[in-house]
Amino acid sequence: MVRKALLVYGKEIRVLRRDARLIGGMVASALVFFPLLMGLASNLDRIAGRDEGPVPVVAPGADDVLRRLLDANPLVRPATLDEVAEGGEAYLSVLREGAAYRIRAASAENAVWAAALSLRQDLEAVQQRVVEDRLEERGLRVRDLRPFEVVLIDTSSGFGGALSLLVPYMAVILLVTNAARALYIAVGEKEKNTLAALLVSTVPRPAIVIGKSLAIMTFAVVASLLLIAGMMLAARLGLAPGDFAEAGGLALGPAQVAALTVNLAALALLVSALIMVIGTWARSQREAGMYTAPLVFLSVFLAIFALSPASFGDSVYAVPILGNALAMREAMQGQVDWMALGLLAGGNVLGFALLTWASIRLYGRESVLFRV
Amino acid sequence: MIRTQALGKEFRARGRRRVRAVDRLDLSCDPGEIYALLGPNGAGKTTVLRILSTLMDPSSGDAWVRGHSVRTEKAAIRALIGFVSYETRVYERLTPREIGHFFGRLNDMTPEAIEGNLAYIFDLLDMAGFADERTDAFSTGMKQKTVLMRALVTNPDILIWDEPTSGLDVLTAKKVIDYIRLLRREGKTVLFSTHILWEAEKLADRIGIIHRGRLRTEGTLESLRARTGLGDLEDIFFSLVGAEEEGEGV
Repeated sequence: MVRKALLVYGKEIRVLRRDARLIGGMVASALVFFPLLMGLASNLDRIAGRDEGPVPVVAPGADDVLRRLLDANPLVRPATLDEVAEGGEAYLSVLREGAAYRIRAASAENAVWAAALSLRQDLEAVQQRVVEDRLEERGLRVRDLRPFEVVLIDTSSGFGGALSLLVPYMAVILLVTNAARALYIAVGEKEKNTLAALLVSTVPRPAIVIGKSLAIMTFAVVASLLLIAGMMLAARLGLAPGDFAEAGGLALGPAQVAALTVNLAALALLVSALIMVIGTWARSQREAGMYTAPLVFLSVFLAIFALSPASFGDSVYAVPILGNALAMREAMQGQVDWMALGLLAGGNVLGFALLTWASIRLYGRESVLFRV
Repeated sequence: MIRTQALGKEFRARGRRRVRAVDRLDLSCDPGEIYALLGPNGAGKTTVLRILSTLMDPSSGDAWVRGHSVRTEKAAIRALIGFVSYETRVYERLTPREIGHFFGRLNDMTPEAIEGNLAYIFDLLDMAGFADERTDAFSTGMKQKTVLMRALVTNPDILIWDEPTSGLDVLTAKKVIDYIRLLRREGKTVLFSTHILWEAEKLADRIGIIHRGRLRTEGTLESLRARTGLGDLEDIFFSLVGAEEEGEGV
C-alpha cells in the first residue's frame, strides 16, 4: 500500500509542478511580492511623502539651550507659527513653563513623534549634564547618588523580541493558507471526472487518501518555506521594516531548528488531512473553498495568541494550531520542552490519523463520490 | 464470466424519494463474448456497469466477475477489468505515456511491460504523434483515445465500456468500433452499454435490452428475431420499450 500511496503522491506532485499559474504565483509571491511588500512597509513614510525634511518646531521665547538643540537636531527645524499655519504642516511646539519644557505634538504621524522623542532625549541629556556640573561644584559625583546599576542581559540563543512572536504567527498562517491553495489535489479528480479511473484501479482507497494528503502537505511546506525565505531575503536586502529586520541575522540553535521543524511538520500533517477531508466531501473546488475560508479565519484567530507575550496554561497547548503556535513561540525564545513538543506532535499525528480515516470513509460513500 | 442475479440498485433522490435504477436484473456474459446492454437514456445501463466495475455497491442481489463477487471481492475484480466511460476524463497536465505508466504501475506492472503495451496501443489507436504531449490541448477524439489507452494499458481480460462512441466524431467512432472487433479476435470479453441500435447490431454477439432498470430480453440477434417475430433490431427494441412508453402515454 505504501508503494501505491507514493505513486499517487508522485502523480499529484507532477501535476502540481506543471500548474504554471500555481507555481508561478508561489515563486513570485516569495521572491517578488513579499520583498516588495516589506520594502513598501519599511518605507511608508518616504512613499507617503513624509521624508520631506525635519519637522517644524514652534518655540516662542526659546532660551539659548533650546535654540542650540533645535539647530543641532536633524529631525527638527525652528519655525514660526505663521509659517506652519500657512504651510498646513504637522508641527511641534515647545514652551518653557516654569521649570518644565513642554513639548506638544498635535499629530499622530510617526515623523512628528520621532522628532518629539528625539527632542525630549536631547533636553534630558542637557539636564543630565547640568546635574553633573552642579554635583561637581559640591564635590559630588553622579555615582554617589546612584550607588549601583541594574542591567538586564539576554543570554538566551533565541529571540526575546517581537520576532519570536511574529514568526510563529506567520508560519501558521502561511501553512494553512498554502494548504488551502492545494485544494485542487483533493477535489480536482471529482470535479474533472478522473476519479472513476483511479477508483477502478487496484490502488486501495487509503493509498489514494494518504498519497494526496502528503502531496498537499508537501506543497504547503514548500510554499511556506519559500515565502519565509522571501522574507529573510527582504531582511538581508534591508527592505524589511522594524522587527522583521532582525530576521536578516537570524541564527537559531540546532535544538530550536529541530523543535520548529518537528512542530511545523506535525502541523502540516494535520492541516493537509483537514484539507483532504474538505476536498473529498465537496462537490467542486468552489464549494471546498467555501468550507476552507472559515478554517483559515479560525487559524488566524488561534495564531493571534502567539502574538501575545503572555503565558498560557498547559491545557491550551492541547488545542491544535494554537498549541503549535505557542510552542513555536517558545522555541524561538530558546525554550524547548521536548516532552510537551512530543505530546503536541503526537496530538497532531492523531488528528491526521482521524481525519485520514474520515476521508477514507468518505471515499467509500457513493453519495459523496457521485454527487457532482 | 460476468453474471448478475436479482441485481438491484436504489438511490435516494432529492426530497428523500427513493429511485430504483436497477431492478432484479439477471444477465450473463460469457468469456470472449461481446455483450451490448442496449437501452434508452436513464434505463439504468450506467448504474449496472458501475456496479460491475465496483464503483457502486448493489442494494440487492449480487454480481460476479469471473466468479468474484462485486460485494466482497472488489480488489480481485479491479485487477481483471478495464473500465471506460464517456464521462471520464484524463489528467490534463500529464501526457498519454505518463498516464499509461501511472495506471500500469498502480496495477503492479513493470515499466518494460507498460512500455511494450503502450507501443502496441499507440500504434493501434494512431496515438504515436501525441503520446508525449500534455493532454490539456487535445481534441475530444484524442482525449477519448487516451481514456481508452488508460483502460487497456493493463491488458485486461474484461473490458466494461459505458457508451463507447459517445461524443466521438465519425472517424474516431469507427476506429473504436474496429478496435472492439479486434478485441473479440483477441478473445477479450467486452460488456458495453449503448443507446445506438446499429452499434449493438454490428458489434455484439449477444444483446440485452434494458428499460427502467429491468432486463426485458437477452440473446443473440437471431434468437431475439425468432422470439419476437421481427426482423430488425429497431423493431424489436420498440416492440419491447416503445410499447411500454406508449402504454403510459409517454
